[in-house]
Amino acid sequence: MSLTATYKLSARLFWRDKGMLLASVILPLGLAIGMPTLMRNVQADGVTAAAQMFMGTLALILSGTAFLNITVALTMRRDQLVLKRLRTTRLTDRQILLGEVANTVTQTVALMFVSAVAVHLLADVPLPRNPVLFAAFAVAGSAVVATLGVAWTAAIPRGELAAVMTLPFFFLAGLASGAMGPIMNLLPSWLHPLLAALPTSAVVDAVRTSYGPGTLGSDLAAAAVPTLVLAAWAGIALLSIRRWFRWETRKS
Amino acid sequence: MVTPVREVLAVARLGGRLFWGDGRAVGGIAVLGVCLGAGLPLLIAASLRSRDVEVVLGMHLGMLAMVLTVVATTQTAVALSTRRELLVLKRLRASGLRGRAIIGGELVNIVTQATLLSALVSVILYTFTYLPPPELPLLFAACVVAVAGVLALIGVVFSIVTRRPDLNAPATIPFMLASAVGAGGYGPFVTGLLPGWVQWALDLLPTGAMVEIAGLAYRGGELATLTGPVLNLTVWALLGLVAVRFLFRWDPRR
Repeated sequence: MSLTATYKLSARLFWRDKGMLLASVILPLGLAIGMPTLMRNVQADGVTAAAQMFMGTLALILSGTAFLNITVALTMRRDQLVLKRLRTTRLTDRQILLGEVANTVTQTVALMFVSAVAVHLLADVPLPRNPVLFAAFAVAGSAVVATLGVAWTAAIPRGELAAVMTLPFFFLAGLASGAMGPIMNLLPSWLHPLLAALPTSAVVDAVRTSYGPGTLGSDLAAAAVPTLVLAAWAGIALLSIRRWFRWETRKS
Repeated sequence: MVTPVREVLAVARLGGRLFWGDGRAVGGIAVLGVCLGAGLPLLIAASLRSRDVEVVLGMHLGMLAMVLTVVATTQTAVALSTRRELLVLKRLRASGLRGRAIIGGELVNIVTQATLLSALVSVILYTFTYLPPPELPLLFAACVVAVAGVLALIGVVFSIVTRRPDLNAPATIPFMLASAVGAGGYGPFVTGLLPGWVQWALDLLPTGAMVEIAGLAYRGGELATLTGPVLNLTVWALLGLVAVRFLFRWDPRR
C-alpha cells in the first residue's frame, strides 16, 4: 500500500461515481467549452470575447472539479467511516490525503487541457503562447484549490451538505474571474483586489499572461503575484488541515 | 379534510424543528441566502454612479431566483433524500401518516423558509438601497410563495432521480445556474447576449415566470398580462405532481 494505491483508488472512484460526474466533469466542461463557443458566435469581437470567457471559466473547472469534488468525496468517506478504516491500514495520513489530492489534480488539469483544445477547435481561441506557464499554473492551482477543499471539509457537518456549502466558493470564483460576464464592472472598486486575491483568480491571471503577448521575462514577472497568492492559500490550507481536519464524524 | 391539514402541519412542524435545530444548516442557508440575495444587488446599487432602479431590480430578481432555487429545490431534494436513506420516510408512513401529508408537510416547511428568507432579503434591499417596495406587495408575496412551492416540488422530483443524498445538491447545480442566468442573476449583459432561442427556453423555467410576475408587482400594471407566467407555473406544478405521484420512492434503492 502506498501513495500510488490511494491515488488509483481515488481515480477509480472518481470515474465510477456517475452521479457526481454531472457536477464535477460535465457541468464545468460544458461551461468552459459552451460559453466561449456561444461568445464566439454572438459577439462582434467573437474570438477575443471567447478567449476572455474561456480563461474565466477555468475558475469554474477549478471550483467544480477540484474544490467541490474533493470536498464531497472526502466528507462522504468520512461519514461512511472509510477514512477511519484507511487509517487502520499501513497507509499514513499524508499518503491518504495526498493520493486524493493528486487524483483531483490529475482530473482537473486534464479537463483544463481538454477545454483549451476544444475551444481552440470550436471557437478559434488560440492555444497558449506559453504552454509551460499555462501547465504550471493549471497544476499548481488545482493542487492549491484541492488542498483548500480538503481543509473545507472540517467546516461541513454532514456529507449531504458538502455540495451546498461549496456553492459560495463556486459563485465567488465565477464572479471574480469573469466567467459570469463583466458583472465585476458593476461592483465597487474596493472589492476588486479582494476578489483578485482568490486562488482561482490567481490562476486565471497567470493563464491570461500565458495567452497574451510577452516574453519569458515578462511572463515570469507577471507570474510572481499569482505565485505568491497561491503560496499564501496553500499555507492557509495546510495549517487548517493540520489543525481542524477530522477523520471521522463528530458522533463517532 | 381537517385531518390531512393537521397531518400536513404536523410534518411541517417536524421538518421545521429539524431544520431550525440544526444550527450549522440554518447558518449556512441563511448566510448563503442573504449574501447572494442581498449582497450582490447591494454592492451594485452602491457602486452605480447614477441611480438605476431597473438594474438593481433586475439583479434583485435574478438573485432571488437563485436563492429560491437553492433554498427550495436543493434543500427539498437533500432533505427528502436524506430522510429516505435514514428510513425516516418509511417510519413516518408506518406511523399512519398519509404519503401526501408527509410530502405536503415538507413542502410547507420549505416554502415557509424560502418566503421568510425572500422577505429578509427584500427588506434589506428596501432599507439600504433606493429600490422601492413593490407597488403590488400582495402579488409579490403570492409570487414568491407560488414559485417556492413549484421549485420545492421540482426538488422532490430531484430526490427521486438522484440515487444518494450527497448527489442531490450537485445534481441541482445545472438547474440553479440555468435559472439564475435566465432570471438575470448574472447581470443584464449576459442575459442580453443569449441567443433568442436560449432566452426563450430559459424563460420557460419557473424562475422565468417569477421574474415576469414579480416585475409586474414592482412596476405595477395590468394583471391580465400574467396569463403566460401563471400558466407556466401551473404546468410545472402539474408535471411535478404527476412525477411525484407515480415515481416517488419511500425506500432507499438497496
